[in-house]
Amino acid sequence: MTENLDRKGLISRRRLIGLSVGGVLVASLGCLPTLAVAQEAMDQAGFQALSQRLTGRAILDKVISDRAFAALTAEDTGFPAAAMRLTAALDQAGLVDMREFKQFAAANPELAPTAIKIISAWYLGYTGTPEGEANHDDARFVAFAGALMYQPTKDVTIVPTYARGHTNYWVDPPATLATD
Amino acid sequence: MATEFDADVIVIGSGAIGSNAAHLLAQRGKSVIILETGEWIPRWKIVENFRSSPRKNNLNDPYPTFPWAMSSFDPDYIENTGNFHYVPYQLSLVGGTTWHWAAATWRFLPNDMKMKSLYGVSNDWPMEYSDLEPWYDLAEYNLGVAGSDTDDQSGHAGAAHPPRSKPYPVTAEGETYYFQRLKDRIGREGYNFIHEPNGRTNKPYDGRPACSGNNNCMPVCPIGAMYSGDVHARHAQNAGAKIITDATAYNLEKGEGGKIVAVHYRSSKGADVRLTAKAFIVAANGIETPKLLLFSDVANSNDLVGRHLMDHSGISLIFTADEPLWPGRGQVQQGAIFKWRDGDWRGQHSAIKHAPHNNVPNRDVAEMLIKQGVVGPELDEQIRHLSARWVVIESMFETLPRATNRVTLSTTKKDALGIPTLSFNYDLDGDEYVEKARDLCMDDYGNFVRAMGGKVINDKTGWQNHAHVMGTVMMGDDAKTSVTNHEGRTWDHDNLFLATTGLLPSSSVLNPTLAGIALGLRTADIIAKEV
Repeated sequence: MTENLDRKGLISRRRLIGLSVGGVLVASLGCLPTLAVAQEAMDQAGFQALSQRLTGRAILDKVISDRAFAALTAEDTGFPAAAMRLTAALDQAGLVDMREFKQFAAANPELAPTAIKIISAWYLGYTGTPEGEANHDDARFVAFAGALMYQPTKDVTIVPTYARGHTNYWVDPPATLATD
Repeated sequence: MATEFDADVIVIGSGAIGSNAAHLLAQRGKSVIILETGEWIPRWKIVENFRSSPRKNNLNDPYPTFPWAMSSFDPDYIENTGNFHYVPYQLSLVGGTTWHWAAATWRFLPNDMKMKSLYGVSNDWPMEYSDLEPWYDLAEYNLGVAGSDTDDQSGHAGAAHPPRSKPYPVTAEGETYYFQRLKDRIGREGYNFIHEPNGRTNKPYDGRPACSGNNNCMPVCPIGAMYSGDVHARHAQNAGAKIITDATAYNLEKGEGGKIVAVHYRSSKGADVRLTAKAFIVAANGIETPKLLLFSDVANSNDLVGRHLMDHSGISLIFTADEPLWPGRGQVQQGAIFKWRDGDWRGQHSAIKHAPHNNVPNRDVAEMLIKQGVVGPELDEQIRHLSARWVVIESMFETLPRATNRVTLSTTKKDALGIPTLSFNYDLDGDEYVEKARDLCMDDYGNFVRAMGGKVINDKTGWQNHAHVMGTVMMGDDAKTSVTNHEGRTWDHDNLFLATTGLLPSSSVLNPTLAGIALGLRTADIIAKEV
């Protein structure tokens, strides 16, 4: 059920993206010099929609989304344009189910790393490469408790520092053990 | 006219060792000043620093680093000349490095203190286990150590060992399901699983709450269930000790008769202050202590300060088991697996401590999967599947004291206060003692993986840092071969004492902080009778 809802959400968002891009085009017709810029610029809403598509999530936190967009752009000024090209290629390929991403990546090898970067930011909660034993690196914070990597296990384990149990709860296995 | 002093005793360093020593002295009615390079920082700020950091695997990241109090993770602070990149992980704030230590509080075995006479390697300690035992007791009660009163910590599955005159102040926490399963299946292969005594109280203790399983002992316990040195910094202050922060000691001033007459410290604003005392304790960590001695040119007539640096250099194993174990529920570590803990073979190769780690593994799992290009619903499914089965074993080896493994002052760099930064030479290459143990460790890894029906993710980590600094100001019973005697009293200056894990003349495979605290309490007791 959840999956169906998510996919429905994705499709409707995709239509919205199409409409908004169309809207930009119409509005820009009388102002040709800015047309190229408008076509290549990825904004926060566009990034959030692209993120929803790549992560298969109908709902993503806007604050985290804006932070991820800012971090990826700070890391690589070419990122917004790459994300725009990725969106266009996904539209063209009609990709709505991420189970088909491998074929898309094989057909679009220059855009796949951009998609992985976005997915990585959402799941891991950071961009760049954090150093374990040095203070200086290119890592940027995106999210902690909201990092998607914690969602698949949220019924069983905690996000560190956010304990939900009591002393010695850990003696017993989780209730889902038999089906895990 | 009687000489006036600023304090009876000045303790340099407010970490767990210095603060416990200062507290005992203050309790005995002595006037005590503690000098601390860093500041008081409330726990919540460190927790928020952690939560909003992109580098969750970086233990120093939530803690401050300043141009006048640099973290060892600042490349400008540490240079290495050996093949191994040594980083000591020390922190500069009130409470010191025990803010991120995970609080493993083993006692050394009596045999660990007689390595030379029993096995012909390393050093004997200048004391018997029985000399330290009462101070281990006090240290454990100060920290609220949770432990098993029945385990044979020598790993021979015999009677309770080492001997203790009091039970642990807190009973051992319940075994995690993860630990139970590893113990059941790997234990059948002849490995002994021992509960790890720890300073992560599981009942309310000395104003600290019981652990509720925040799974973040390193880099910071969000609720202070885990002991950190700020507990006794506060106790020392409440007992009358004065703590001066932003005070970097940089010179121990020598006077007549080999006495130290004063310590000079500098603040971040550049102000220099001279303080006098009857006795001085340098408790500034196993790295910063030798640094202060070297820069002051004290206690080093035999050129041993900073030498014999030992760590529990080790390797680690990651594999996935064939059943869901669900690591990540409870504390980040719980026990040890012993096969090579103590025996006649210690003349030939290192002892080994294997420790199963119990961190919530999602980050490691997700990083690996995303690197492999796994996306979409499969990514979520695999995160759950692998996180349930993820096993990490960290193994530590006993290293031998080698004069060439050392910390010295940098000859090229200084910090903002004009104090030289640090240079390390740490090398294990060609060291047969640890290399033989590494081969045995790999055999153990094969057995662990097989016993758990596992699949190896990584068993080729290379040598890893454990920041268990020992040997750098080693104690002994001969002024020619050691820096201090059994009291922590420097041979060169009879009112200058050192209280640090740097005193340990042999390393065993046990986290050394509890021994350091016990030695520091014993030293404080000796000083209390003299000043």
